[in-house]
Amino acid sequence: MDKVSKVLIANRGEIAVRIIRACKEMNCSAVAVFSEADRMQPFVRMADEAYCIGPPPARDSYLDLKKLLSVAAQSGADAVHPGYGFLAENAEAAEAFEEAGVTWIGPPVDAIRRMGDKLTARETVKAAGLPLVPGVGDTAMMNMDELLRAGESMGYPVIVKAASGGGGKGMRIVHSPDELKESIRIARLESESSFGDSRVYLEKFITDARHIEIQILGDQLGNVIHLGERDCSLQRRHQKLIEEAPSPVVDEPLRQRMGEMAVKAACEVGYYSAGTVEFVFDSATREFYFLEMNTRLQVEHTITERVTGIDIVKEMIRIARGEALKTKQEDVAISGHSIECRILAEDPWQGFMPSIGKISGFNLPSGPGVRTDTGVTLGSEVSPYYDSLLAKIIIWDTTREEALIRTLLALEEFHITGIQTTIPFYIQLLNTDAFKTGAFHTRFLEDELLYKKEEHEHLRIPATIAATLLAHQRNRQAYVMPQSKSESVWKLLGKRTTLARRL
Amino acid sequence: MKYITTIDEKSVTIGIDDDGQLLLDGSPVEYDFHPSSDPTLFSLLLDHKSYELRIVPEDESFSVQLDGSNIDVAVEDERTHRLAGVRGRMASGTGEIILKSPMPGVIIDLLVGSGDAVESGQTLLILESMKMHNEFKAPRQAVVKEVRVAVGDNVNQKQVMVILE
Repeated sequence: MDKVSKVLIANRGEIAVRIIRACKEMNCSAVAVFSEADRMQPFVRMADEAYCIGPPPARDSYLDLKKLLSVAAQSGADAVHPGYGFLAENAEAAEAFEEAGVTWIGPPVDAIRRMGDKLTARETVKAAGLPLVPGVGDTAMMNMDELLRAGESMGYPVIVKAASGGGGKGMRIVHSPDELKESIRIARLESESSFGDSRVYLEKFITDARHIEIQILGDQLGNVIHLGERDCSLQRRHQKLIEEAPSPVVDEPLRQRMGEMAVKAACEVGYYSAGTVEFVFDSATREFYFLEMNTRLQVEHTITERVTGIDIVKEMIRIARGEALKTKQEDVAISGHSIECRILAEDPWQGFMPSIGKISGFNLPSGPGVRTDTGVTLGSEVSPYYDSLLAKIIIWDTTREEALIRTLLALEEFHITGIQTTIPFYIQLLNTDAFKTGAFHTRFLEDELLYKKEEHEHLRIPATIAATLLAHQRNRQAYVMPQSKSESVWKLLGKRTTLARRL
Repeated sequence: MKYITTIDEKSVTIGIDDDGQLLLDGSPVEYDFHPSSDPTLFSLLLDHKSYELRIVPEDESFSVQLDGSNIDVAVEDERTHRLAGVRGRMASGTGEIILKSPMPGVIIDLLVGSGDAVESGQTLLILESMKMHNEFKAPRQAVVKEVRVAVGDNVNQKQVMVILE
């Protein structure tokens, strides 16, 4: 029996589906856990075994480590895959599973710990020789005066960040010294309430920045390779929306340099499994700086899979079994261009407000170069308890231009009714010159794009006629029968048949 | 039967006679409209142009999804339209905007009252839901016709909060 033969999936939604597929392909049993809100979600139906772990709120279910450990024991799972979010970067969870004899399909506990704290991570990679964003206060606990002095010496704008931060929380851009004190105070409060840690630090804020990250794979024998970059510059409030690989601004020499740096960072902490080293890229100078390392599988791992042909989730399982990497660095080749769109249950015309409800119509796009990873289907209830990611489309074509066209068509083919999604917004976005030319930065959506509902002049007539015909049909069903007393039944039947043919 | 069908405040008149012949603002239109076994999925051929649509009937309109766009289509039959005209609702020729709660929550702030003139983008109310403050803004210049909620109210999903005209 293999070391990893029965995998507990400590997650939900599309990523649970993704991991279940990999498990089945690797001849592992897949054990799902679900909250009371998720009983009928596709991942529960797809798994080999499924266990309810409590009420809908995540802290009572998906974040409840004790319940997860007891399901592992009850089901006899010998490994756990945490996915992303929830417990994925929680060193205590990784340690608890390992101590219970359940293999953590992810990096070593020590690497999660050292990369999880932003300030420790900065010190660690600095020692490995990675470039850091200039002018940063590298003291773990700076007082207000020191922070103010640091701000002055690096030059404005600067950005205040939380040591334990993530997902844009506790992050503030400061344009002048008189805003700094207040920004630091607010960042400390936010960070304290979100992470229980009030430590913040300062970085020079790069105005024309792109977010470029390198995918890492390492085995337990000390081999570490990189799988090239992903460009995740299209963000809204630090949340990635659309990612692409390769980056429109990275050439082969730059890819090699960034890749080597990322491998160095991973080796410095004895990394194995899949991980991502994130960089800020300054478009003006073409310099790149270490941002952070994510010690887990990422949402956008899919586009790297598409352009390299390497199945990252299956590799994670092989690595957890102790197998050596099959791919050597020189065998990694980037082919074509891949774009991922995160389909979110949010209303783009109402400030990206979460949208909940039952999915009443559903149709996935398909065809050459179109991959869909979905956590929902027809009839799924989208609940307010978890993040709004419903599905991802991962599009591939030989060039960026062609991939863009294919992505637009796939978005048009993707039907979701009953809730609002970001699909119409992406269609609008992909049609902008900035996206077409690839010349955008991480604040493009905040700075330049107006969230304006699109004009749909060419769709007006078919929409008008179809809705009116449906209304007419419904009216007839409601009114024709009572009105027909004076007509003979046969005449009526004839008329209705004619209408039915027409409608 | 005659219908007045409105998208984004622009209306057309559609007549459908007993034989199913359709007149769009008086001109005949060749069409072939088919439902499918999927209740929200329809196929429409208009002069041999093919459209695949999702149509979801909602309280006051139809939500039509076509080529990735969501289009809100209001269909009124002539009788209802005339009645509405008598009540003065359609007198100005522009439609109402009905603001519904997209999710359950609590109204924590209400910034407008009935009869107020509002500018496009002006915040009307704030709904707290899942610990988030969601601002609802006027999609265009309008007058507040009706406010159906008060500060502190718990609202259900799809509950009408404010009507603009």
